[in-house]
Amino acid sequence: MNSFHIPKISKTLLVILLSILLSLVIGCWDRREINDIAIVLSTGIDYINEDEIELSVEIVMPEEMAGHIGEGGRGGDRSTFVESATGVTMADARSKLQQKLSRFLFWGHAENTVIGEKLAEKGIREHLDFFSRMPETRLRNWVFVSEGKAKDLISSLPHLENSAAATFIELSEFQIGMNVTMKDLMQMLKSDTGGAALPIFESLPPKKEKGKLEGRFQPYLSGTAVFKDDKMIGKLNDEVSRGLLWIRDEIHYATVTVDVEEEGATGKVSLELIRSHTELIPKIKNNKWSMILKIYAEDDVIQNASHLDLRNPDFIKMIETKMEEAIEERIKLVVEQVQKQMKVDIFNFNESFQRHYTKEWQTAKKNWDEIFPEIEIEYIIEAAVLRPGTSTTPSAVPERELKDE
Amino acid sequence: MIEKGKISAAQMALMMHPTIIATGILFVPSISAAKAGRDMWLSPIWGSFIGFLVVFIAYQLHKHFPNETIIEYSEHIVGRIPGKVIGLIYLLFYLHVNGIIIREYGEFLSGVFLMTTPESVIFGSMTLVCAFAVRGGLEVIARSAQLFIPIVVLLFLLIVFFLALDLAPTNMLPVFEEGITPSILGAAAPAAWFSEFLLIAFLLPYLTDKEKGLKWANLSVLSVVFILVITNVTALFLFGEITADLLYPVMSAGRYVRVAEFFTHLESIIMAIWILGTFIKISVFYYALVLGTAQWLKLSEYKFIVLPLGFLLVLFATWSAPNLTELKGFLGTSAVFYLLSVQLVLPSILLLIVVIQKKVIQKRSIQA
Repeated sequence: MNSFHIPKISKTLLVILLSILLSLVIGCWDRREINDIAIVLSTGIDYINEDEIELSVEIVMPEEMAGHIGEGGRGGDRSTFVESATGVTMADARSKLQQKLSRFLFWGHAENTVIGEKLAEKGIREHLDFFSRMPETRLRNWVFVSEGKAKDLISSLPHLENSAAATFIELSEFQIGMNVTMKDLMQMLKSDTGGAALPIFESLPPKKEKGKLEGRFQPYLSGTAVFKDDKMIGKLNDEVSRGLLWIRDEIHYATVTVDVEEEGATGKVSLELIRSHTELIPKIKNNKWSMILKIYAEDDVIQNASHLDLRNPDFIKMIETKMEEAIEERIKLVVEQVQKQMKVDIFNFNESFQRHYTKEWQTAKKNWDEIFPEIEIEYIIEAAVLRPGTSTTPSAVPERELKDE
Repeated sequence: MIEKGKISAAQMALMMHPTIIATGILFVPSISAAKAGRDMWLSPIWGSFIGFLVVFIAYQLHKHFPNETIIEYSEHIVGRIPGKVIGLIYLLFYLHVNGIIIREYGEFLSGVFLMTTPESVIFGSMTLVCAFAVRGGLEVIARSAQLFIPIVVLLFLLIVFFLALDLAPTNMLPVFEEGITPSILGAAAPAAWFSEFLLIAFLLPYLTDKEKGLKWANLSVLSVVFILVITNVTALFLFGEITADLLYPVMSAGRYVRVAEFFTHLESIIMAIWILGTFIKISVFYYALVLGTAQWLKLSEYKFIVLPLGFLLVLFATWSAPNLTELKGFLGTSAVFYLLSVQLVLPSILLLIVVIQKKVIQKRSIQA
């Protein structure tokens, strides 16, 4: 049972042969060096006409980016440039775009996808497939709608960052508005009953203004786009969007200013949100569908522009009540627009009912579009002012004008 | 005996672990999700019953023939010619299934990372590495499993950990929306994967601590259930309803990781998990095929048939399906019956015959 014996010379030969074979398996076919690729940071999709779309990409200029580090982060010129091409589909446009570039387009580091307003109104589903099917793309890239053309938005040159993409990332990390990744958007569109919502970015055209460099303009969040099925049917402005965030339990930063009554006049107290929690409690009673919106918010006072002495707990209580009213008002704004006018469920009420009333949901899901606008919303809002900030009495107010009881 | 190496029961458990999960974590979540939807996390648990059953059958057969593999004792059970036929069924089965596994490996690699590399190179290089391991014998495979599997499991849990903040447990609710049936239908694919535990029939004769064999085999099933449930739960919590739309949910999940703005692009870790795991998986199947062939042909040595069989494996990998869509369709439907009939039904019949034979012999001896 001796193992079969290889003579010594042929063993050496074998090693040489295997080394040659090994050189074949190192993956030369897919070799792609860093200086062969054009790294895409943002993708913009615009509507051209019935048949065509325009694909614009923001691409890194590696030399520029390296240069800035050497110069101690001068934050000077753009480190990216924008190129675009038209095509019947995303993939078609990509191949045409590729013809204009000397390097291979690489989507692996893409961080943002901007959908032009017009395209959003026509429907977006078919274009998203590109992102879930291309092997190198990630499902975590922020998606938003641009006011105007997407190409213009990704071409904007902001003050603080040296690319538009960096601004979008920073703003998304900030969590000031809605934050939607490609994965989230697909989940929203997959649902039979719910609509979708995406943040809207806007970028003002460059105009001469004091304290701003010429040709630079800051993209900023300007509201929320509401989608029914995969078509954009309306916009919510910035203020209304805040209400949406409260309902979806996605609010992280909020400064609420409330009016407080003093003798004769009203003063203002501003509060900053520390944390909040929203709970949706669905109810079906006598075939009447309703939703209890339970919100708990903790705040600190950041400015006291009234004459109230906040050392008095009664005033804190009063501010809390005012705060609750203010939040409710915010939410009612969005409920009015979305539930009553647009009639699209972007509040996640569908999921909530599905979870709590599984049986009823089976029949209701077919005509959810009719049920949703009729749902009555009940508000239970509790605001807590935890700390009056770092000063007690309103600063710089004479003692005799203070109101302490 | 042809195999002179000895492994411990714990090593066997470590070898069997990637043999199930390596391809399981990539293909199963999506297949399960298509049928079970939100209840997909339960499917591996239902599927594991098949795993425990197969382990039980393999162990009972082993108890009757402690020093033989299934190829050898099937001859003793049903006679020489029918036994040879059963042996041949197993050999062709392992040849085909291992071809499919190599194909799965190649499909993933060429579909996600090495798009332009010829598949034969991908198949060939992996088969070559596995051939070295198999030539080295049972102990070599066992030790590489011992070395790699803790790394694989650790890396996998690391990915889940980094995704923790993005997971939404509410995706799981409502449980049993359409009753228990969808989750059981979704268990078909995991069950087929679990039936691969029959491979212990090739390993049990070479254990140093045979009395611990059953315990460790069951522990191995449990660990596989654990990993598969975690996989499905992670995919479900992260992707919810779109899990079934994604071809490789775990891969997409790995890419989704983003911690503190810079910690991203973990797909290479998924890749490492996949390659290390599949290496063990293919080696174990390959070993069973080689050892079985040697025993079937009554050879005195198995080393020299390793490379020729490897060549056949690469061919089977190329032939097993015309494209990925058919491969995945096959894995979700007919493969379930195919795998279960060879790995569960056939051994059950063998066991039944053994038990009846023993009863008859006992009766005769009492009568005499």
